[in-house]
Amino acid sequence: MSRDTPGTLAILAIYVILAIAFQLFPMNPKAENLLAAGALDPAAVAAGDVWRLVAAAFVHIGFLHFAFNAYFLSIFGPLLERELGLERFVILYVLAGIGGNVAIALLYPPGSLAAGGSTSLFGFMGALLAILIRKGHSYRDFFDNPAGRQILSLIVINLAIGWAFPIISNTGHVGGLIAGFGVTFFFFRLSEGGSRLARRPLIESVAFGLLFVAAIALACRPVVRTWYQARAAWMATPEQAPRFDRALAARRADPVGLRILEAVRSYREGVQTGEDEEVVRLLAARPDDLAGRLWGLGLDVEPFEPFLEAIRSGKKDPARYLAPDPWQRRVD
Amino acid sequence: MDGGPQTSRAGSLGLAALCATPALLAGLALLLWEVDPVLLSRLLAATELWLGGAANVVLLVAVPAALVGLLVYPPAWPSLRILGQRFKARLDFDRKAARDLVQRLNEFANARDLQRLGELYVDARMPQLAEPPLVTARDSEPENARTRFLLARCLQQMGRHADALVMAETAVAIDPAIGFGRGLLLAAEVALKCGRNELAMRRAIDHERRYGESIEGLYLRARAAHGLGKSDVRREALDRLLELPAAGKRYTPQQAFARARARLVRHTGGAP
Repeated sequence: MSRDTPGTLAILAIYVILAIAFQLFPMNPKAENLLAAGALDPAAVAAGDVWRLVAAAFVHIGFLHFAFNAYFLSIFGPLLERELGLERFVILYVLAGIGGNVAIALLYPPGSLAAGGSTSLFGFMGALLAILIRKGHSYRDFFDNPAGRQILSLIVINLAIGWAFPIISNTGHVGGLIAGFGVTFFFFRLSEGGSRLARRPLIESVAFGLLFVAAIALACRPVVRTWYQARAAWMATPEQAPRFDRALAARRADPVGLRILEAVRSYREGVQTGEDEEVVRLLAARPDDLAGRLWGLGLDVEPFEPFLEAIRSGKKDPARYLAPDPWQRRVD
Repeated sequence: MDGGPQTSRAGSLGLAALCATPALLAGLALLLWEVDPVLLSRLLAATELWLGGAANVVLLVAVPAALVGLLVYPPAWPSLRILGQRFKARLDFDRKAARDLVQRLNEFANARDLQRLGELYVDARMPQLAEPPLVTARDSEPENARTRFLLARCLQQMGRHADALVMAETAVAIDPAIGFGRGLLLAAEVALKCGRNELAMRRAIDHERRYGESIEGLYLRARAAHGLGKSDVRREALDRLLELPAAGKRYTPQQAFARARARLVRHTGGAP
């Protein structure tokens, strides 16, 4: 790393500035600080915080996390920045980060917190793979190349480490790897343009671009996830609600969980019946049951706790303790 | 650069389809959610029913199927034999001989011992260790074809094909019979890796003129012809190599691999 690699230095500076500004260097930084800095929560992305898909690639959870990623960045960053040039290097970092964060947003439950530059760093490894493959004259050349075998081993070892430690998000790593590989393989023009593999047909680039855009759209609106469908059912107007309830039922969602959701929603609308009140009273007495049933819908009970506490203590107008979007953690 | 191989249209479409299919499915899901979320949920429920045991399917069906597929893929067995051969070469590495040579070289450095030390390392596929003694040997005896041939093999093992080509070409220019024809084959091989199909073709033909037809030579010739777009020459070379009998009791792993690839691409029409 030196003055001829300003992109790497700039990314490293952003790591440090964010960590200092949001007090992220302690071993277990506060969730509020992480969210404020731009950490990823699938529910927050679904609620409109699309910027988190980029920002999360610069935020780190504690000093060790920062130190590991800064070390890897200082190794791979200059290598790729010299190979690709500043603009493409920065584009690669951002797009690989988006790829990894999209994978997390698509597959993790709402309320999970994820952050780190490792999505982009895996994207760097994917980019190196793509460059080595495109420099060969056939795909088989890659396996004859010791550098290619070393990169593959490095990827396998890092993925194995990710699997061994559940705290590490291999989902994000694989997403970043695929995005970094794809962006470099299908879009970037390389200096060695002689071989068949150096030139990619337009149709491949268009198809990969479509995949990338579709994945981002699905991360912002994860309509295939039960929790997102339940959220839509919760946030729907009384006219729309039956439609989303039917959709959840068609998904074979737990009917008891659906009934609970319906009863709590009737409180929010102020149209609760005696039966709804009975359901909610029972739940307030046995909150663990609610937790189990909501978990079946992919939802967390925590946002309903103030409401249930209000029911238990007999407070007036308990509906005001219900959040409009209870699955999104908010930073005050 | 002399003519590169043709772009595989089928390969491009395959990669494009691989990316576009999930993109279209995602687009369809988003559209359905707007139009009819109940229908989307029904489809998802049906998919989940099918994928319910996805983990088991992957573990019990897909992985064994992939293994079986690998084993029935014609070049798989020869590839495993080649890997075994390389492993054996590493095991057969004579550490004592290498140590003795290093000791002798410490006392009195000479090109012959440097070359022998380099050869030991090259045969054991330890190119990083082979390079320094071979470079020193070449510098002290620039006209020694054998040193240059060994250095070309070393560079080839390191993946430095462009450097290996220069070295192999110099070796065959000094002595075309170096390695009893293996020099010409090596030059053809690395020329192919560098995309120099015309040169690879010339070296394969040179080898055939001097030593007659061989499976290795015909295979390289077929690959070069494919790169040059000469499909008739490619087909003829592949047909002839499949007719050649084994020189010994059985085909060497490299010959078996070439035959397996030839049998495969005669049907598929791809690159040998």
